[in-house]
Amino acid sequence: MSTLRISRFQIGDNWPVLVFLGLLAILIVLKGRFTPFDVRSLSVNALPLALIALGQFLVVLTRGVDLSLGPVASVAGAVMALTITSHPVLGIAGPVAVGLLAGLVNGLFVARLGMPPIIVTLATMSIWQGVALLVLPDPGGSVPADFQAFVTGGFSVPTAGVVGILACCVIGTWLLSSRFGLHLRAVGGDEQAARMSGVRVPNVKILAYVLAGLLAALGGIYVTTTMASGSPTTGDGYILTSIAAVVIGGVPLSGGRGTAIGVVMGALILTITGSLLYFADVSSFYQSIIDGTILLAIVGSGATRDWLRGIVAVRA
Amino acid sequence: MLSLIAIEKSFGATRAVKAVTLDSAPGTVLGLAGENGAGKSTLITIVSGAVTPDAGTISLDGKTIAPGDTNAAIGLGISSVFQELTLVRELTVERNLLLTSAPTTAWGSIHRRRARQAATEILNRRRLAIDPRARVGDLPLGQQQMLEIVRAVERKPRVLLLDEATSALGASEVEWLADLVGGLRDAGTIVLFISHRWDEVVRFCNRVAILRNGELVSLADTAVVSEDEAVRLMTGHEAVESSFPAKLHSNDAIALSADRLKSRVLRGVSVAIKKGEILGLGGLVGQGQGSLLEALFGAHSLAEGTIRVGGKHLDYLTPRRAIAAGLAYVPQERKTEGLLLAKSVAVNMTYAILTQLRSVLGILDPRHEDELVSAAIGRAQIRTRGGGESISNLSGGNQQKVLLEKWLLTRPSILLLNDVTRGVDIGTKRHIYALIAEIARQGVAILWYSTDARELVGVVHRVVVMLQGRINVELTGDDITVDRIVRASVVGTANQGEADVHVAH
Repeated sequence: MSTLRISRFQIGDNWPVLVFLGLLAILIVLKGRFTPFDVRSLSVNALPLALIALGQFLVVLTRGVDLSLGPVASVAGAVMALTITSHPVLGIAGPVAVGLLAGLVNGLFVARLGMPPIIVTLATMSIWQGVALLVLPDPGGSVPADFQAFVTGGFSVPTAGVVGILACCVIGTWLLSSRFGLHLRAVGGDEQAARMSGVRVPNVKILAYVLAGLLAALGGIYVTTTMASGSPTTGDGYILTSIAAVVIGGVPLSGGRGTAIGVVMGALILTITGSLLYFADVSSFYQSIIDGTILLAIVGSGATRDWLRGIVAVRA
Repeated sequence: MLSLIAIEKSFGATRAVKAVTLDSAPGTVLGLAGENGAGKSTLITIVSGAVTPDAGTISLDGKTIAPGDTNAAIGLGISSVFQELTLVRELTVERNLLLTSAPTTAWGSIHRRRARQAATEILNRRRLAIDPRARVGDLPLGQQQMLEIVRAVERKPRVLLLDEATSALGASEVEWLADLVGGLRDAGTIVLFISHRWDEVVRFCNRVAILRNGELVSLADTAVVSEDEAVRLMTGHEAVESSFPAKLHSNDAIALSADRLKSRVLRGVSVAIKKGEILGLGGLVGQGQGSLLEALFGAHSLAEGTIRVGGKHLDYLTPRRAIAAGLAYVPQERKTEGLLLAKSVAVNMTYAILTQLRSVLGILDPRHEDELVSAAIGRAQIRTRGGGESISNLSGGNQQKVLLEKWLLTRPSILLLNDVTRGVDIGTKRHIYALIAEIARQGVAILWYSTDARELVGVVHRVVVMLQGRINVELTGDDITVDRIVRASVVGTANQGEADVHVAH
């Protein structure tokens, strides 16, 4: 019994890490080399998804889901692209405020009015998509080159993206290990029990949505900076991939469990598949097929493992 | 001094609490006794602040407590343990104990070592042998309830409210709680204690308030109230023992036999039940009784063993096949395993027999359903406005009767009952006993797990007592006594060589 539990910890919790390392190994074999440039492009491409997925993770921990994070990233990026060249401070403070406000709205509807998260964020998703189009009807705006260089670290230095990815792991893990993190897991595990134990359930939920909005805005800022211009649909691709990254990272949508490192790995896995197909000379049309297969394989393998363990434990 | 003055509370047309006035001094354990619906739970939730009274005041040491404000009550030192546990099953024991008070480092992270120390210290001080790293959901129900109690006591309350806090506890665990409550009493805590078991009221309380239909009918020292007197006050009827139905002889034909069942929990269990026989299943909580019932119903995976119904061997048993073979299972956790809480009484009763209801082109004949449901409501004397009423409006005892009727409508030949009278009042228990005896008289074989040894003594033909996943002792006839059942629950006899095998949950 105890050995089973240990093996479950070792494989179960580090599963996403192993999958990522496996895919990375395949990529290196396909390319025949792995340079700092590759590290940079992978980490820079994965970072926005990692940020948004981390926000999604906080919401999923409370047994919620946030469909509006992608469009929030779009609006944040659009606001930034329009303002940062003329007002550097507003160019950062504006999108950050958008993220916080969007999260607060979601949180108030979910936590104070008790509305289902999927409905609330489906509505705000649509609203922020419209706002993004109003703010920036066509792709445009600009980002100062020196700011871009500062954020991305130029084109050859791998540190910027890697530091960002590591920061996501560290900050996410720290959040989860705090009392707030414990309360997040308690709320996701059993909301009524958490309330009766003295946890301020509405406040915990609102903070989760607000932080998710903030992380989505940071994701939007980062994408816009690397592209050097804004687009009203920047974030649409993250609406569902952020959920996929969370699930591939080993977090059940029933809430209460999961690690930040797993979620970041989920984001890396979903990013590396694009490079893999490119270097395997396969049409990128296959990427969503591959991503879906990975999702089924990872979640399915967990379910299969539990099923097998049930059989083994009985026979033992 | 905790004082309740002229407390009134109505739910709709029902007056749940009628002008109750009582007080309790520090160092007193006050028992609240009465049937379900007598108003004890309502009264205690009013004191906890979870329910706002319509009229009346509550004060602690002369200070009035704001009505309907849980936080105010907690702030004044009122701590409560309700039947519904408030532990987070996904989290560990340690995290549950320190959910709002976990020590943190300078960085704001939880200090793992100090948290472990603090949790271990609490568990040791309260004499709870539970691994602080265990997930609460993996613990047996009894240990979860003990943990819940410890958490309430750790708030250092001036008033401790215990609502059916012993419902999931075995005999030795009840002793543990008695010691704990005794310590609190001696330290000057006011304890309000609700239990359906009179012997526990006597064991725990120095004073007892008896409620009937929302009214306080007696407030006296426990020592001066006899059990018969108490039951008469609670119900207006005669005592429990005399309410046991007469035992009838069972048929000789074997209805169900299980041979050497082995699983993660069961260590080779063999039982046989005759038609019309009521076989009792006793023992401490968590000795494999639930797993045995579930195994017979195909809901607990077996590594070895055979199950025969009416001589026919059942292979690859699933609940669906078990139902087809004539088995019915009434689970212990009626809220999670048995009832559709959002649905009506009628739906809850008939959804296991939908294919047998008369229908036209797949549309159910409502009259046929009405007939069946009305007949069942009458037979079990279920207190409800009718089949259309939402099941969640019914009291726990009446919900339990609906569950029993649901399975009786399937016309089972074998009925498996998992502690169906847990948390049910004496009046409803009497109905359930009579119902069980009547079902057995019709030739149904019944396997009944109960945590209350007295009702086994009163109702069943034969008792098997389980210990650590195997049958420890079988008692028949005059050997079925509370003493023998309790002794067999804790003292192993059979297979001493394998006694070191621990029961996994």
